[in-house]
Amino acid sequence: MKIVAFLKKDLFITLSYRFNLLIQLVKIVISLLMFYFIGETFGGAMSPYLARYGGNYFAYVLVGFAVSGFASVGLDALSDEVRSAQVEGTLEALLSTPTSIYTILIGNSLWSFIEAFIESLLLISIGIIFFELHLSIPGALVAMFVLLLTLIAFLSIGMLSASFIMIFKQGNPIKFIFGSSSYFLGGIIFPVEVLPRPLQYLAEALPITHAIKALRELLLAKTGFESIIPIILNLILFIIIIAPLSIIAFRFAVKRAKRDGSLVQY
Amino acid sequence: MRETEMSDPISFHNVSKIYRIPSLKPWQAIKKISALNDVSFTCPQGEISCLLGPNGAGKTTVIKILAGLVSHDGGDIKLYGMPYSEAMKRASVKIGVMASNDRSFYWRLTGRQNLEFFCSLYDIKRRAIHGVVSDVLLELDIEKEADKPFRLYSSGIKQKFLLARSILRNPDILLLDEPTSHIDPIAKDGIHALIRNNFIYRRNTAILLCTHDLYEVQRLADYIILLNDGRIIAEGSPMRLRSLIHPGITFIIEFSRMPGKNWAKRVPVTIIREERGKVECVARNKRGISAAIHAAVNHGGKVTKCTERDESIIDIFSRLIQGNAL
Repeated sequence: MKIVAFLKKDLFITLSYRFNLLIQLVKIVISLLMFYFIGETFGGAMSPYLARYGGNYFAYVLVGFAVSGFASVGLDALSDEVRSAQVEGTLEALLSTPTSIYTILIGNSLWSFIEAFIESLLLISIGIIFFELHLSIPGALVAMFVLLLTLIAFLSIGMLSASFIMIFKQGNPIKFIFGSSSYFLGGIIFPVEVLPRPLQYLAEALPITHAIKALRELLLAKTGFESIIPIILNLILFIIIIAPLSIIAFRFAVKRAKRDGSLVQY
Repeated sequence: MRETEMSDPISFHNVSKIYRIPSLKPWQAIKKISALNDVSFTCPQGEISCLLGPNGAGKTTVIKILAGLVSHDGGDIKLYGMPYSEAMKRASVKIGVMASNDRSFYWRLTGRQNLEFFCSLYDIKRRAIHGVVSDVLLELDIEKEADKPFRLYSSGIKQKFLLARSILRNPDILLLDEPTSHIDPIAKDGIHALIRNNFIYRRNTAILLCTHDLYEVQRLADYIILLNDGRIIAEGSPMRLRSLIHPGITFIIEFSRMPGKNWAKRVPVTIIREERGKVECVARNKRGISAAIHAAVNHGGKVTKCTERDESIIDIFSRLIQGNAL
């Protein structure tokens, strides 16, 4: 009920900024076109790294972006929502209601997740319709499951990040470390295999690397569920380690902010 | 201190709060600021208790502790006799908070959409929300404004919406943090009348008002808790606080002809101020006033007027804060 109220509120706010919706759509189209033409430019000289995925660079990048957009919302949304509610002044009013801080946090971020999910679906649909991406119905279910795991993994990091914002307000190192390293090392626009060996080990520690790999296997390499089980287990392991840690950190941050009287300061 | 009852809506007993302020220079130790120091008070049902004090006195800290935004370090807080954390956990006591910050609304939404959203957060059932919001809008006379975006409202209307949000779930306790801080005197009077008529006379709510607006205190306070530097320095009804400054009646006699020197030597009054044609005195009781008038006339004075002076809350506040009366 409360979560629905948050969604409704954010829907109304989004609709009140109509021009922004249009701009977001244009941005997606422009980035798609950019990677399409990069793919066209180098399409003739097929890289051995892309052979497994049908040699189509555009389709390769498309899947990378579908996952990374979703993952970055998981990473950013919680801390961004805490920060903007502090700055706007709505956090105090929300916390004065009998609503748990977790509901406020998730409720305020849910709209961003839905937007990111729609964007990911849009990207994958474009790939299926125009660029030979293959997706069976069981494959689609597994892809959804992988996206869900990705979201939980990044939400856990996002909660760590929100804990940091709760106490230190600005200069969030968690967002910086996971955000930039995921973009660079996660295999979004080039394969992890082209990186030097030590960086490949670092890439293995990031959840986004596994999420993208799993989706590319499903959508481009057209392998079955069995072949991505080890990749999914890696994601689950990451969640098992980080999720409890992030909940403990967030509890501590709220307690500390209440003690210092800085819950709504920014 | 007033008599306390177990079931008082709010009861603070020796509550203290220390803020730890980190220094901007990392090598310096954390600074500790005592915001509340053994603060004890109660708020009964159907009364407006007013936390009064200068900036930094600790008023907002009290409100924030009750709203659950800040934790206290020591002492006991009870709501209707129940420990604060238990009352909050069970949600058995409904607290409404009216902060002075109109940015706590979503400015892109209408007033009605804002109130409906907050109704959901107050656990009001979906079917009842429309009715609750309409009733509150009618009660505060803001129904006509309800479907305009919040950003277009005047300060007075925004203030009324802040009040509307705080009473959505018909609270047992209403916390008002500077409820009229940004509005003009006429709108201010309107809000004051609403608070008194709707929440005290009609709903019998326990109200804790936090302000440094002395006009507001004069209009609303049934009981004043005067805070300074995190401590209660005086408390009581406005009448009692007056008596702390002047244990008697202050009155002014105006003359068309002044009486001779030492006219008040044998009467039980103290002359505070003497200007041309006017004398301000304090008498212990009404008899003292008539004795003073007789003495003035007997010494050749021609009295044109005698008025009892209502000691303003501003005088009380400034004298108590400066320690003149204690």
